[in-house]
Amino acid sequence: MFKKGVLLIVLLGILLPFLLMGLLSVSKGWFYPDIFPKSFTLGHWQLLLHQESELQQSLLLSLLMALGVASVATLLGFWVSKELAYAKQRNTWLLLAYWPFVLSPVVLAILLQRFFIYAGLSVSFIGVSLGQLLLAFPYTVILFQSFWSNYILELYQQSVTLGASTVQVFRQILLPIAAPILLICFFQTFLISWFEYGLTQLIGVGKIKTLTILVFKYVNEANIFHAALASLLLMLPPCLLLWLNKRFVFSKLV
Amino acid sequence: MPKLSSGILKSVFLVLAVLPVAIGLGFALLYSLGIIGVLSEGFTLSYWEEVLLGGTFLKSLAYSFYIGIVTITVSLSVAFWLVLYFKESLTRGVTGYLMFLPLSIPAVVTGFFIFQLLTKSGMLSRVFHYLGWIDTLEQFPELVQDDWGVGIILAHSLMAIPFFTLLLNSIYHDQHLDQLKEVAQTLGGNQQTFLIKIGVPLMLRTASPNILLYLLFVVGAYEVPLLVGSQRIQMVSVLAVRKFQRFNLHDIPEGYAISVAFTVLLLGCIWGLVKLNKKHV
Repeated sequence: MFKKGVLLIVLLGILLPFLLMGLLSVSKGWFYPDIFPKSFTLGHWQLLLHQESELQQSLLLSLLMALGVASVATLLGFWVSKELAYAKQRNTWLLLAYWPFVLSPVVLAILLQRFFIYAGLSVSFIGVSLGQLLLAFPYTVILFQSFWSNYILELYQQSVTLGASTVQVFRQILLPIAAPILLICFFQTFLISWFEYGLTQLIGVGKIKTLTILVFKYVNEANIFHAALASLLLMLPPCLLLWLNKRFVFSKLV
Repeated sequence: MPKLSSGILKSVFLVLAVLPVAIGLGFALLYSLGIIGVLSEGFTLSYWEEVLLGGTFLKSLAYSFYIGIVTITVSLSVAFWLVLYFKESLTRGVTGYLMFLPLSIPAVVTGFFIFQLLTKSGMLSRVFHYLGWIDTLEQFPELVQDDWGVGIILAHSLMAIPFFTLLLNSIYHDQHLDQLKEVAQTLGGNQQTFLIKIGVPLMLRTASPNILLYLLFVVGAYEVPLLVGSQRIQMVSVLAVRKFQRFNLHDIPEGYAISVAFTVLLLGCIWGLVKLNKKHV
C-alpha cells in the first residue's frame, strides 16, 4: 500500500509540469492567492492558427531547424563514425569527439561567436543551424561507435569481396541493420537542436526565434500564459518521439 | 580511392568537431591576453589577473561545483531509493513510459516550471495560503533566485532523477544484482550488508563515468540558473555571458579569459576521467 502511494506521488510529480503548463496555456488572469485561474480561454492556442503569429512561425522554424540538423548530423555522423571506428588511433579520435560535446553550449558559442560574425552567419537560420550542428555532429560520432563492431566490418568486407558495390552494401546490408540506431540518433539529434537555447541565443542574437528563445522572451515580458503554451509546444514532439521510440524502436532492439 | 575518401571523412570530422573548439580557444586566449581585440595595446596579463585573483570567477566556479555536487548527491540518493525499493515496477506498463517522460522536458521549461511553482506568488505559495499555513506571500520562503541555489538544485534534480533512475535500474539488471543478493544472503549477509558492501558500490562504480559527465553538465548549465538563479552570485556560464553583454569593452577580454579557463578545466576533467577509466579497466 505504502509502495503504491509513493509510486503514485512520484508519477504525479512527473506529470505536474505538463499539468501546470496545460492549465496556464488555457488561462486568463491568475491572481494571488487563487489556486486556479478566474477564467479560461482557448485564445492562446488559437494564435497558432494565425499565419503571422509569432508562435506559429517559431514552431515551424524550430521544426525545420531540428529536422535539418538531425538529418545532416545523422547522415554525416554515420559515415564519419565508420572511418573513425576502424582507424588506428580510434581512442584519440573519440576523445576529440568529446570536446565540443562536453563543453557548455553557451561557452562554445562565446568561443565561436566572432567567427560567425566575420563569416556573415550570425543572426541567420543557416548560422544557428550550423552552430547546432557543431554540437550534434560529435554526439552522433560517439553514438555510432557501438554500431561499428568487428561483425559489421567483416560483413562489409565480405560483401565487397563478393562483388557488391558501395551503394549496394549500403542499401541492402548496412541500412537495414543500422535502421534502429539511425532512428535513435535522428531522434536524439532532433532533441539537441529542439532543446538548444544558449548557443541559439548567442549566434542568433535573439533574432532567430526558436521556441526556446520565445519561452525566455515571454518570461521576460511576464506573459506566463504564452510562455506556458510555448513550453507545451516544446514538450509535445519529444513526448511523441519518446512514445514512438519505446513502441517501435526499443521493442525491436530488445 | 578508399584512402582519399577516408581522408575526406576525417577532414570533415576535424572541421566540424575539433577545429571550432581549437580555433575558438586560440582566439579567446589571444583576446584575453590583449594581443588582439578592439582595445588591444599589446600583451598583458591584467585580464587574467582580474579573473584569477579578483575573486568573482573563483567564487562563481565554487558556486557552480556546489550546485553540481548537491544536485548529483540529491538525484543519486533518490534514484538509488527508487531503484532498490521499486525495481520492476519502474519499467513496467504506464510507469515504464512515464519514467521516461521528464527526459522530454527541456531545461528552459524545467526552469520556468520551477519558477512558477516556487516563486513567492507561485503555485506552492497559493496552496500554502489555501491551507492556511501562510497569510501573505511575503511569508513564503525565498526558494528561487536565492543565494543557496535551491531553485537551480531542484530544477536540475528533477531532470537528473529520471536519468539516474533509468541508468541505475539498467545497471542493476545488467550486473545481475538480484542473483548476487541471493549469494550474499546464502553466505549469511543481510539486506543492509549487501547494499553497503556490494550493491551500491558496484552500481556507483559502473555509473561513475556518466555521473561525472552529468556533474560537468550541471556545472556548465546556463538556462536554469539564468531563470531561477541569484543575481548576486552567478554560475560560470551565466557570468561569462554577462561579461559579453555589458557595455564596458574591457569586460570582453575577461569574458574570454573565463571561457578559456572554464574550458581548460572541463577538458582536464575529461582527460582525467579517461585516464581513470583506463586504470580501472
